[in-house]
Amino acid sequence: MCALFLLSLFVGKYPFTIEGLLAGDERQWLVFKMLRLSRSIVGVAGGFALGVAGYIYQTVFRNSLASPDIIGVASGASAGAAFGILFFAESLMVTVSAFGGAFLAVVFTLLLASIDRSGRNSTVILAGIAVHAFAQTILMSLKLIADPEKELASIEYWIMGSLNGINSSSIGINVALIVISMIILIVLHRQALILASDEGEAKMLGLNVNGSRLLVLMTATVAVASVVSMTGLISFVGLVAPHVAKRLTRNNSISTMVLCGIVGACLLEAADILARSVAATELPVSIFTSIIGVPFLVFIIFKGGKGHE
Amino acid sequence: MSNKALISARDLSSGYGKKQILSDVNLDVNANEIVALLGANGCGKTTLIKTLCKIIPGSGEVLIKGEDASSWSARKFAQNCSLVPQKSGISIDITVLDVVLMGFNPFLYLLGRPTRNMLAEAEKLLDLFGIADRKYDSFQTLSEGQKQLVIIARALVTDTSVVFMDEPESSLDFSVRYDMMNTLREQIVGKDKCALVSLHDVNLALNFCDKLLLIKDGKISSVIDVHSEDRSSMEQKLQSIYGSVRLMPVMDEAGKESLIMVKA
Amino acid sequence: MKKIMALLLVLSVVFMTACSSSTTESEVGAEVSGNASYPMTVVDQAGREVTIESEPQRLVSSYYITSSLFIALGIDDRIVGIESEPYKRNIYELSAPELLDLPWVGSPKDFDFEACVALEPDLVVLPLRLSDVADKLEKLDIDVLLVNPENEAGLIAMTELVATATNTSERGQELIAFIERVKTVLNDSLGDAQPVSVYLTGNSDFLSTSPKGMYQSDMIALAGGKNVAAEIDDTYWVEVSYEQVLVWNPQYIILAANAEYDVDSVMNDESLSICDAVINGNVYKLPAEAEAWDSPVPGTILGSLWLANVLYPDKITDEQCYDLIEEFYETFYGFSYSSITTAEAA
Repeated sequence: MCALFLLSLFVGKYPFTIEGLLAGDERQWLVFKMLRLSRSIVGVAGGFALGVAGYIYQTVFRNSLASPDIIGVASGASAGAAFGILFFAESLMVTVSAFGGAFLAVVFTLLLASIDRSGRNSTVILAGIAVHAFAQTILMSLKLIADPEKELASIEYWIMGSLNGINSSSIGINVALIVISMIILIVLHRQALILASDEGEAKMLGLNVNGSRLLVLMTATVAVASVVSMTGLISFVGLVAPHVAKRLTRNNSISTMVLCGIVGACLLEAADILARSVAATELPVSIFTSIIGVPFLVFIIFKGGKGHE
Repeated sequence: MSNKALISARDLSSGYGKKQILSDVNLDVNANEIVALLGANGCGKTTLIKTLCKIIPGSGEVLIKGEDASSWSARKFAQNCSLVPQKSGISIDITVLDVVLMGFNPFLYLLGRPTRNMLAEAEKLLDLFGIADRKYDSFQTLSEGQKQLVIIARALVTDTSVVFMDEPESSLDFSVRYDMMNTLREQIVGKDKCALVSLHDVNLALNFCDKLLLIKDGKISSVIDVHSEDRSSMEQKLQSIYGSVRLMPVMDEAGKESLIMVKA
Repeated sequence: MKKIMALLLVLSVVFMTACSSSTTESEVGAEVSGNASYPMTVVDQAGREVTIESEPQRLVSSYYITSSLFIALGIDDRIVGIESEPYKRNIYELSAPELLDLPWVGSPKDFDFEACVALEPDLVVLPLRLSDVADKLEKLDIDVLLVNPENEAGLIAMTELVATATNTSERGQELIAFIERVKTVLNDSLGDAQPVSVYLTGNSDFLSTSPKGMYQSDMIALAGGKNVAAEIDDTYWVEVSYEQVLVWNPQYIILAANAEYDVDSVMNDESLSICDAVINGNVYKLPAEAEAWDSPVPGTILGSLWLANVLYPDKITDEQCYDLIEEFYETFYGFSYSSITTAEAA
């Protein structure tokens, strides 16, 4: 991860020279601080957050296919971003709107799920699917009224995800939120694990099940929303990073959770390095998260399969 | 050895949705006692345990150690009671040791980590159940019986005064059942703890439990005091649940008499 | 594929010019309608042969560019159906407000086939990408011309094609002549100018820009500028990074006419603060009072003219620039450009 981070600092369109930076070339330093560094930080922090959040969703929902979208986070963020693009032109407002959309979707999901008093995990997933579908409908309607030349293009590009628009002035709050939510999730790791057992079982292990579940999911959602509101949707990281990490460690200790974050960070950082350097233009980062992630996952499965013979 | 009631239920009723399953159950489980719940499938044993654990809501009163438990937080409840569910819902890869250590959760603060003593305690129980060599393996790789033992270890690893067990013997081998019940007695009797255990195996109940609560149609139909009742009275009560059964005395080498139930 | 398309285009242009010049020779000079003889066969920009039985009286345009061309050719009164949401284009309000009340036939993205057929048109003009719709309409005996004005040659060819088919070749030639005249002015005035670097931003985001294959790149070249993104070989908006913009370090940043953001948001973007264009305040937005000149509408040459005035104010003076713009809209669209801009300023 560190190596990728360092590599990321030195890959990009603007030519940096070690001498130039050491000699204190003002222009190089400005670009370095303002753009390159913040983009690399977001790559690492965002990937970490997506990996850990994916782990949390998969654990709490006891569903190895769970990803931020299962409770409507991603589609909520998309609809929010589309709303922002259509109704407020400013990029900051798009970020806020995407964040709001993601958050609203989760609140809505959990509210819907709380109607069922039994509080089963499957209810949350079902509610998530409903909210996801609803958010998709809103997104579709927004796309329909969007100007195909301008707004539609923005929405499409946003949905594909990119770390391109990031600069030092726009990341502060989001990165802070990511760091805080990561700390909370690491602290709550034990609770998250207990949530992976049955409702009654968890309760008899001293857990306020509904409260803990709400707290853990909300924290993970804040992290995901902070990432996607900066970058647009980034697919696959939240799904694949936990699988890779769990295959590597074969348990769910706290180190597995951190490993999820590290795998996620590596994946996103590597994907972003490619996204910015493969072509003369900026490419959507999600293409590369899948291109790198899938073979890696296959490799891990293959290796894991052999190890168990 | 004190004899106070650790679990008391008064007029306990509950059910799922509109369907009432338990009605007006009254029971007491005293310290240093192991009480068995016996009854046919679907008679309400599991519902009774879940209601006592506040997992499903019910009406009536539940006293734990003489206190009304209805206002307790989940944490406080779990500090006093532990549960072995019929089947654990853990479906993720997690080490056996970590599963047992989950039992300490009600005693740990937010940032707390299991102490060395807790670790030693957990390893001791795993050793007792003969699965110490699997402690770093994933829980998912264990057999059903081994999983059950791990969950039992999780319930016994802390010194909660009350232990609820829902058919703990169901996936255990014949001899492992006896070892498990022996361990349970060691952990309960003489330590001012108690256990309420629902069982299918009546012979386990006759040999390891102090009282048997016979449940029929959501009610406690009769109570057997294993230590003081005579054989024919017990036989009669058991027949009301199991039909034509007989209790046969058997004598072990030391001359100690015990009873086994056979289907006539 | 691209090469084949280009070849087809060139062929059709050659063919068209041959076609139209023959009709021009025989023209006597009516006000709007010429005296072309029907039935006539033309080859559209998809290379299809289309035989038109009589002078089309009911026209449908599904594309703002062709709608604008109909106005410039003086046949907007024959339009019976127009693309969706025409109120988004100022030019209709200014020049042909009656178009705003016409039924819509969808957009190139989602063409409303039934609405179009229901209007019983004689001639439907569609952009090239709707070629499958054209085939369907043809089966219903409705004449369709596919046009592809995605570059300057394509625009000229489209003008000639549509003018020929609608018997307005004279007007079409006037329009082309005007375009040529402005080009000559630009070439003559800017001949020895040192090209300045220009970064043209996209409609949605100022990190999207027009690469080599886009119309906008030609527009910049005509205005004597050097499109910094011309090194990217693509034909549609591409996304670039802040770093890339800083590497290019353009002297001018020009915002697309329909950009959703304003000059201030570029000037105030911290990450662009070390870019020459921002330091020197050389950030401008293409005017959108009448039409977006950065799209291949008939008046698109005015975009180059305006840009040349911005880049080289001493070579293309304000007066020169605005006189030509005024003349263009007076002649072809019948309104005074200066009056709308001054009205807006007031």
